[in-house]
Amino acid sequence: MKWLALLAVAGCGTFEDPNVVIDLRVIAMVAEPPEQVIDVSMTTDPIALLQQVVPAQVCALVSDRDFDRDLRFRWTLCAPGTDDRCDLSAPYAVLDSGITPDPDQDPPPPLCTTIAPNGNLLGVVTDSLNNDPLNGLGGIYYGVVLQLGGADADPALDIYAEKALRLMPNIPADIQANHNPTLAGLVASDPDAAMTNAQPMALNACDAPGAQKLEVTPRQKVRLTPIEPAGVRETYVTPTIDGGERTFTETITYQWVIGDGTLSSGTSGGGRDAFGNLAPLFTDFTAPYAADLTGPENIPVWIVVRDERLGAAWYEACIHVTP
Amino acid sequence: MLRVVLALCALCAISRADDAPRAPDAPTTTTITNVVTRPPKLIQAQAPEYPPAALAAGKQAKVKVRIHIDASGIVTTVEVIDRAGDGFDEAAVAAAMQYVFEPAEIDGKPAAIVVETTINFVIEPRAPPEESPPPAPPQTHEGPPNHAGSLKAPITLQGVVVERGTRKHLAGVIVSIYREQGSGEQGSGEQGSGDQGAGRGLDVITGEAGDFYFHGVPPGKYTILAVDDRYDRFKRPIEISKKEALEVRLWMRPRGGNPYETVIEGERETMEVTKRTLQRQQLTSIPGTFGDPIRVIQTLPGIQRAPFGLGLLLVRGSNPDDTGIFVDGHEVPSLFHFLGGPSIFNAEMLESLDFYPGGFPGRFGRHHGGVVALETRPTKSDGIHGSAKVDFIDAGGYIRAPLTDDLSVAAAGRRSYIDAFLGFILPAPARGAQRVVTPVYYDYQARVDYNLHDEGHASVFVIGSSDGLHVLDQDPDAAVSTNLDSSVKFLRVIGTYERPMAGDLKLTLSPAWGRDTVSFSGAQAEASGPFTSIGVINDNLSYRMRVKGKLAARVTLDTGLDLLSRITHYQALVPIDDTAVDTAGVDIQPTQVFRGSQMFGMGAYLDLGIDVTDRLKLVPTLRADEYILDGVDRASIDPRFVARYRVDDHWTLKGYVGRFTQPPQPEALDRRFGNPKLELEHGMHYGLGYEWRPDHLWSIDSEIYYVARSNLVIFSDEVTQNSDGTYTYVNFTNEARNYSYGFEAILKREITEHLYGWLSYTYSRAREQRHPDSDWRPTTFDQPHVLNAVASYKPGAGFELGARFQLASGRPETPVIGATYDADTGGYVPVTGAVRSVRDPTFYQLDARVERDWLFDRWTFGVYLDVINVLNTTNVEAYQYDYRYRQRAPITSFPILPTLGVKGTW
Repeated sequence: MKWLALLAVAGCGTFEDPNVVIDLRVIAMVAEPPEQVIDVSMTTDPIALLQQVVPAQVCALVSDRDFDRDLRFRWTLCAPGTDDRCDLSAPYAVLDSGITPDPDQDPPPPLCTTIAPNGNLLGVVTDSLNNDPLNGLGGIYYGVVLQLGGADADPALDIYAEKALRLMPNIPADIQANHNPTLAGLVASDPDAAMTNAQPMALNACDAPGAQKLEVTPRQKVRLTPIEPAGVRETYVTPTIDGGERTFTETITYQWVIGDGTLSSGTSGGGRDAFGNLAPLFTDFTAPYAADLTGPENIPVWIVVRDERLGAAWYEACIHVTP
Repeated sequence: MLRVVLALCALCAISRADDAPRAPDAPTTTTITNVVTRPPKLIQAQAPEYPPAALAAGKQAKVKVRIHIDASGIVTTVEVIDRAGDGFDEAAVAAAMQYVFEPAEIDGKPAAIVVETTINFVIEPRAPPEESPPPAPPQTHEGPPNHAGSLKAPITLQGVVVERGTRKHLAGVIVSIYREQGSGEQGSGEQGSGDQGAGRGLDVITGEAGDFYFHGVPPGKYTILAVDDRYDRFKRPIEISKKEALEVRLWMRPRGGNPYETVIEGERETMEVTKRTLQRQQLTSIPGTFGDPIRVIQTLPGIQRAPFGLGLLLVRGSNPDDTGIFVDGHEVPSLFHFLGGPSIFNAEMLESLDFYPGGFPGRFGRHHGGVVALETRPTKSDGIHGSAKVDFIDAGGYIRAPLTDDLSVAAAGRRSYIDAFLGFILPAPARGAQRVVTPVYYDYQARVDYNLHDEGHASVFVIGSSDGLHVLDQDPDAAVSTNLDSSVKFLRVIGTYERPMAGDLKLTLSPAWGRDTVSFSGAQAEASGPFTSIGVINDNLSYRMRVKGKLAARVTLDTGLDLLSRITHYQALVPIDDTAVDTAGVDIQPTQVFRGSQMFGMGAYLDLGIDVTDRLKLVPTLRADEYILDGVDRASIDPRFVARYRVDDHWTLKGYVGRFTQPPQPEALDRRFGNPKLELEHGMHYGLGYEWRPDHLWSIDSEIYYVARSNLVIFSDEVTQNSDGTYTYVNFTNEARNYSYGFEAILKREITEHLYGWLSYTYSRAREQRHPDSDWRPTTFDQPHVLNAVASYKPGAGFELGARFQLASGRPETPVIGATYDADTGGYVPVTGAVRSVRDPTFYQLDARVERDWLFDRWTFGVYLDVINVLNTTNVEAYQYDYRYRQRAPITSFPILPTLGVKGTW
């Protein structure tokens, strides 16, 4: 009997749908390059090693639905702590700050920063290295934290997002730096028709000139399946603590974020679960109820593609619901 | 004329002392170590002289007295408990001083004891003149007390007195025969004594087997009367013929109370300071426990409330694993079925349960938290008896039977059937899909006892428990399917041989074998084999030797040796690579892993109880342990010291200090996934308290304590760099430590005919430091205030009403003050405040239980309704957060939860 009660209470609580953007939100952050390999075979001098590093650009995809406002931002470089924020008692550097226009316009204004291989980066990675019990064997991590809020809003309401980057020593020697994954396309189909009526879906924003949109009716269910380009799942080598190496093949995960409606799952892809199931790549979108619509509505669909080595990319598609 | 009648019925309570296995003694302690193995038996009674003035005034009275009986059966002192005045008290004392008893035995040896009884002074109207009575055999006691009349005469009436419902043969019952007034039969004011005439004329006191015999009773119509303080008076007409002896069976109905009124004052040897003992009666009728005997300890001071009613033993701020659970001296891995299920023990198999929150004796080792010690109940050769219980969750039964005069056996078992109706509750699977959810638990116990008489006693006890969960979820239209099997099992076989040694010493030898298994396997429903699996098998072989008893008049010895061999095997099919760097999110194929560890522990202990004076007792203890953990030696020597000082008959002061040692868990020592260099964990216990017992019904036991634990094993993400430049994960270290302190008190009302209960309160604080450079913070289960109130009342007519009220501080929580979006995972990372710096709301809950028993001659039938959370209060156990930690919702404890069950006992 207690078990039943436990089951009864286990599912309590009704929260906002994490897959639907309803206010200011960072949907994705991408670094280019996400990872760099540095040759440590000739020298371990930090200055010399830093000369091998190229500038990295980090950009954020932001939505601020339900608000028409400029945003206040600040980029900070640091070795983030357990809460993914910068510890102000450790080395850090503010890379950029200011006001950026409303992100919900087409094309969205770029919100990017660049991490230059300078003294700031040296201080941060040195701090990271000092705190790494493996002395950088698995890579030296550093990150950028984006603080974002309405230009005139209370800073206490600011949101934070963090993107990690990594410097990898060339151990083993043939190690290759990671590349951001890509998406070849998107297919929409009827979940009950086994892909017999599948149709490609354009990867464009709803507000883009000449944007192609997937037409649906209220409560219509559509299966969205990503099309992976060949070679997107890179094979890579990683060192082991006993002096050896392992070779793995990347898994690709897809995060789905929408402007309205519901999704069967907010993430798809990835590795196997404990039962051996390979997670499906698709998710099923269900359009909103007609009663919730005031008229035809464009629903943005954001797809964030990730590998497990800090690589990421984002794409956008559009669904048009007509009551 | 008036007839003076004396009812000795209350004396029969004396014979029930054997049903009070751990009744508390009086003045000096709330804890009793000895067990009454044979009650005192009244073999000679003396009717009191009715005070002439009171008689003339027509006054009647009841005088309750407390009788002190020495080890030879002689009454040494009689105290009047409830005074009646008018000379009744003096008359009662004078009469009781003349009683002669067959002495009680405690732990098989004659011992002093104290009993209480009520002597009734009743005046009855003189019977009208009647014809001359038939000749009755003289009231002589030529033979045993259960024979009346001249032994030379033939037996004309014999019988046995039996308890209704249980068929237990009742010793010590007074049985009388007489002629009823106005029956037309011959009667006599001297011989026939009416309804109150049990003390006069043809009286017998039933023997050990409840049997009685009347010799040479003339033919005719009589009334037979049986009286006992704890039973309704039995009376019925009989007719004795000339031709043959009459044989009768007298069924006596219990008064609805229980037999635990007798106060025992045996030669107790209290070797510990704080032991809380529960008797079987207290173990089965506490509301909210579903009659579960072991859940009751969660109402005692020293134990924190476990969330969701889980069976965790959270003792004085320690982790659940730090508290040892011993059955007949051997350790078992758990007491409860999983997910808040019931305990693994049938109440009928349980003799007693001792809970030591700290400062426990030397015979318990390898733990630095607390100890729960269960003693199983010896079987009896008193016929076939049993019980059965059925409710919505499970059904179980118990049966015991004699095989020969010296050999008896008992067995019990239980199985859940929640799986049978779970399918009606869970959502139906889609068409063509299949869903099976089968949670099943069962347990079983068996015990065989063999009486070797002068050579001692031998027994074998078997206990097993199993919890299993099978989930099959398969939908052809779904991309994933599930086939999950998990189980937790254990089995113990415990042999015990006890025999007397020279002097007062007793030797106990006890070997045991056991196996604990934990398994999990996960697969796709269509797969032929598991994709992942884990199997852990623990084989345990243990042996205990114990010598206990009086070394000298003022010295008691408890010494022994215990050995434990544990071999642990791990078999796992898991997707791990423990050498690759940073494998988060990497799809690793499962690989087979076979691991194992071995532990051999040898422990020797010595407890010496020294009565320095009549008031002061000191108990120095030394326990030495040697461990061979995967071939590496570790040793510990734990000195402990206990002192008790009896201020007067009501107050006792007590204190203790001691060191306790615990080896790391086997998996933490694994050379690959653990750390074979781990050292032993230690705990220092300090306690100071008092006991106050104003009378034999009420007591207060209070204590302040401080526990400091060090060298605690904790997970570590550190690595060490080897000389060749490679690295080794540390996995576990001994860096953690914690401390707890607090105050505990229990106000207890002992079991009487209608009422028992207790009020317990614990104030405690527990803090931990996980690493030397980290901050001290509250432990996971730190609960400053825990209060439990338990009461059970028998109003009569077979009803028993019970209630339990719990109040406890909420668990500490770490506040979430924000979140950061992790762009590399797509999730949010909480930003937290000070660790465990806020608390969940205070927990409070009222449980109630109503039970009604119907008594039949050969069995008892009962129906009970156990309601958890009668007030349907919403208690927060934890919180869950939304995806970005802006909203939270409470996860609450049980809503109102009634359970209806039936049970039968025969």
